[in-house]
Amino acid sequence: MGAVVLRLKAPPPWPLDLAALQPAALAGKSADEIARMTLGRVAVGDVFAVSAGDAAELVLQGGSPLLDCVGAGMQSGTLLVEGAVGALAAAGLRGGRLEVRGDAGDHLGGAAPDSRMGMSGGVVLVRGNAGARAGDRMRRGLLIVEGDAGPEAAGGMIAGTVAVCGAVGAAPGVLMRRGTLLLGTPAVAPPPGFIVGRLAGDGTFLRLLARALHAVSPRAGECVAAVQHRWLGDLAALGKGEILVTGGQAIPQHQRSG
Amino acid sequence: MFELVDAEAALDGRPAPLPQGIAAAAALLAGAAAPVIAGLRTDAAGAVAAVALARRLGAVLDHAESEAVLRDLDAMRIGGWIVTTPAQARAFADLVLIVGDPAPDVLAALALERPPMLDAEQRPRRVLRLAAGETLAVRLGLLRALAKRREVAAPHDLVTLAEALAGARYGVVVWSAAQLSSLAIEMLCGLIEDLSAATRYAGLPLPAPGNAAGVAQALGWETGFPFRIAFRDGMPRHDPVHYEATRMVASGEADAVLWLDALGGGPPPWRKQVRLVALAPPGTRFADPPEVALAVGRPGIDHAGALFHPVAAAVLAALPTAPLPRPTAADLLGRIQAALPAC
Amino acid sequence: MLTRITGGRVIDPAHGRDGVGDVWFEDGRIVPPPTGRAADASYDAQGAIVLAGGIDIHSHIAGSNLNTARLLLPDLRRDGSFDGAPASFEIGRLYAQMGFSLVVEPAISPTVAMQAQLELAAIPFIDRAILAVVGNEDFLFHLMRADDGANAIADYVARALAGSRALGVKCINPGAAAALKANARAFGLDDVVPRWGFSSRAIIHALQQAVATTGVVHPLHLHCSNLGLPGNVETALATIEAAEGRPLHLAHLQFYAYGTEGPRKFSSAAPRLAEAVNREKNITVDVGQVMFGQTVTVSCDVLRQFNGRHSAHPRTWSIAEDIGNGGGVVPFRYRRTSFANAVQFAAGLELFLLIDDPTRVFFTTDHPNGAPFTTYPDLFALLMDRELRAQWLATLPQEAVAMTTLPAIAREYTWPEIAMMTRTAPARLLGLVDRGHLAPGARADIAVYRPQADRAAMFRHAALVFKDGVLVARDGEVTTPRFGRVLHSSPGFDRAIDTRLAGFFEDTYGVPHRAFDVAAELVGGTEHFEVVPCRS
Ligand SMILES: [Zn+2]
Repeated sequence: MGAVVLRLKAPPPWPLDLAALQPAALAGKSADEIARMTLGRVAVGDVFAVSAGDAAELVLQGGSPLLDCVGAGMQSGTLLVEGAVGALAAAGLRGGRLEVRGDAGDHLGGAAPDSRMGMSGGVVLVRGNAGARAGDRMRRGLLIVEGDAGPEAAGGMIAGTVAVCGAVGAAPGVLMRRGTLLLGTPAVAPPPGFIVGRLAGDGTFLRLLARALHAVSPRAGECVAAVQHRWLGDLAALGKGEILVTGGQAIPQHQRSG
Repeated sequence: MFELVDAEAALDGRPAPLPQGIAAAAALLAGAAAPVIAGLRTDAAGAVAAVALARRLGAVLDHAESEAVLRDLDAMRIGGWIVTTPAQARAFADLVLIVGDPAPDVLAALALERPPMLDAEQRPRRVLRLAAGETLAVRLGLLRALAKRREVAAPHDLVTLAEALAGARYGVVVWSAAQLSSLAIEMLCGLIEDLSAATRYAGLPLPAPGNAAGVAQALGWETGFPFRIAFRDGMPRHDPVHYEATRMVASGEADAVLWLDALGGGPPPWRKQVRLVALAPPGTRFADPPEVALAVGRPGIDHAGALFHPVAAAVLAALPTAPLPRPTAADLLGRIQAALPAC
Repeated sequence: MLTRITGGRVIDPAHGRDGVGDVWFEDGRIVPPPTGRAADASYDAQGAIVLAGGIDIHSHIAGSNLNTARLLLPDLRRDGSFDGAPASFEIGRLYAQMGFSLVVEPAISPTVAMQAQLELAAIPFIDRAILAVVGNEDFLFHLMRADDGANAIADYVARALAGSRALGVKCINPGAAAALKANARAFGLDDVVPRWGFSSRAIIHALQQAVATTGVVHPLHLHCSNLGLPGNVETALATIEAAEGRPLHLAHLQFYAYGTEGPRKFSSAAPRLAEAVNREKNITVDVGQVMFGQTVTVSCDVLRQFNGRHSAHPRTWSIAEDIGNGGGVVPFRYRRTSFANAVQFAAGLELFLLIDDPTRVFFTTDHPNGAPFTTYPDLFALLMDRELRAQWLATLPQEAVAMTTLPAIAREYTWPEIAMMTRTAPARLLGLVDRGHLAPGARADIAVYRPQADRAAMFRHAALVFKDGVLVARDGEVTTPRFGRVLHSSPGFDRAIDTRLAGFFEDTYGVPHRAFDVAAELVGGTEHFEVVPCRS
């Protein structure tokens, strides 16, 4: 039978919290059981056409910025969204893999409402753009945004890797404690609170990073190859984070969509 | 335009006796699929009664000023904070850093023009100001790096400010969450933490209007959570994103609202048509007449109530200044709950 | 309605009663077995233990500090495994299920009493009381300098009790909160408050004297300095000595039972402390047992919380200063694998087992500081079962166990000792004549436990719990909520103190002093309160 597939029948009436739709939890459930699950005031079946599956794989066909908390708190399995998602996608994600073939809203891979930790494992790939505070307070794992990211990307990051192939908004890496933020858009000066550091001698770390990213997103892997600067900060916080910046050509806007 | 005049109740703008108003309110709320109790400008007893009613209805609870309160709570939760009260700051702070433009009433209570009464040296206080604005969080970040004595390129004014801050014996940083971003508040808490390594610092987050802090306390002891709570099967769930009243009304998710405003803070901020029960003091003006309007007494003016005292920074009894025999919010909410059909 | 509990083992140490028999009650009070009348309701307690309702003299169940803990840790509460700061209603429910009928919240500054009383009013089933915190406010220091110091301080203390509707007086690390404001980071018994020059010792003396003058029955309830620090047994011993024979209650003594022996310079010094408590009959203590798991520390010892904030787990805290003690909230997880936490666990049990007089050692975890009160059932079981203790000890780091004498202690608490420690003695300590026992005239606060192999399960869900003669819980299920009373003292004082307080507060703090008074009409009216008489 394979993956569970939920096809969006019509735009959601209002922002829906999809955190309950975990690939592992849906595997093996009947279409009816899934359709009866509630998302606040509406049932899953009101919004999605359900086809059941037996694997810990969930496909959402069709997207909307009103689909919040997609893959939030996920621990295992894979979740593929063929479209956009709203805020808090992959918030507090602990394991498994989320791919969004569209844009994501604010707090991608950040902390779930009420929680003080962002993603703590797993892999998240967004083919489009992300909103503000992507990777906020991330503790572990890999988060790749192939398009642009909004302000305060990787803010308060504790560890792990965030890659933004396109442009970033203001204050990237603000309050970063440790971890790596890779920026694919060339820049010359570090953001406030960061100082210029040296790139490690033989490039072993970068080669390993490139390999790890390439396996998920060739585009992100290529960004690593073009890295020319390493900035250290945020000196307002622990200051042991790093921002790696390419010196290559900016990716033209039109190549960035889904 | 509809003005709630001195009648007990009004139905679609027409005066009605209170029992009829109560019955109409109960019927409207009982028939809603997703009722929201919003505004919540009330005293502790009103907040407690609102929790009971929300539990019974399976409703969402949110306060008109919850955004600001949650911003402060978030800063506390994310990295911890050290705070003090206006009363203690007035008595002891030798340096006060005012961030943004906080409301003048509490600032006046700090008596900044006088030396701190309980300070040993009785020297005049240093009062410093930092403008709010887009770049505040970034500037605060640099200030933190300077406070940590890190080598960082920073504008001259920040270097001077950092030096001044380090010279305080008991420094107090004053802000109003409504004027600052979450990140800026987090930075302020971090700055206080950094400065506290060598000397003493404390934050002074000023309370939002509408007894928001007092209601947050009451919701805390009643449910364990601050605002933006929904009751499902009698159990509270807290979700600051999805249980925001304004957003629920705008999106159509909420199909009925009980707007509770016993403190005279005004009608709901939205123009959207949603079925509305309003509890407000006489004199409140609405753009359109609410389906049900009930006249409510004002705690601390018409009747005694427990309200957050902005200078003591504690929930205290507020005795009436001009007692009037108007029903309290708790009375009205209790009567609405009693009038709901049995479940 | 005349009610009878039949055939249980009735244990009432206050009256030397321990044997199978009946307990009768009517209109909320225990009555003698009536002649010629049949019971309207009867409950079979054959094979069960019948005790008065439990009394907890030190548990943080209300107040703005505890409420901050709720608001600080919503994520821990959501996953359901955290009982450190339940909502008010849940506190009443969980205590009632265990057979408790009175709980004392021991740390409410008079400036935040109104909120604490509102919170108490939301706790169903049980009776409640608060202790008013004094000892770190400049007004007290100001009085200590005055010519009429002793009398004025007694008036001030009585005024604080009246304004906050408190049962007794608590003093928390006297002088330290004031010193922290002047950037002190440590404060011992003989350190002095900057500017004022008073030592902790002097403040304790002044307040002991004031409590005696007011006639309040509960002795000064003291949280000593140097809580939690290695070697602080010396502080506790010196404090006991400093009492010079006057009544003094030392709170959560476990947190002061630390020596500096062994490879980690951290050891249990509980035997030395127990010996001192056994010797000095003016001293009562509660233990503040540590149990393993996630909790949150909530304390008006703001210096200690300030210094301990970086050991928070999860990494967040609130340090909130005020014109007196203020308070701090620091979440913490006690781990079985931690050397220090294992020593703390053992030291608490050593105190319970080595203090030989169950009328002077009280059963607490200092909820939630040592552990949430929901761990009480396990703690009772540990006290009553040497074998169970050995099983627990086997799971702890053995180098930590070696720093204690616990493995060698054979004592097991008996039912009469449990009854004495959690019923008879606390009622006496608080000055309550109609609680904590089962003689005619007492309130019909009764707990019936059905013995079973799993003692903890027995204590978690009492078979029957009556409050004022009304059945409130049965086998872990509570009945329709009802509310008990809030107990407080009402000593007399010279009203002249109000004038002095008014002037000081208006000028120094910009708030009228009377604004802090609890308004009875906002918390259930006078019916809601019960006055506990003072010594005349
Ligand atoms: Zn305590």
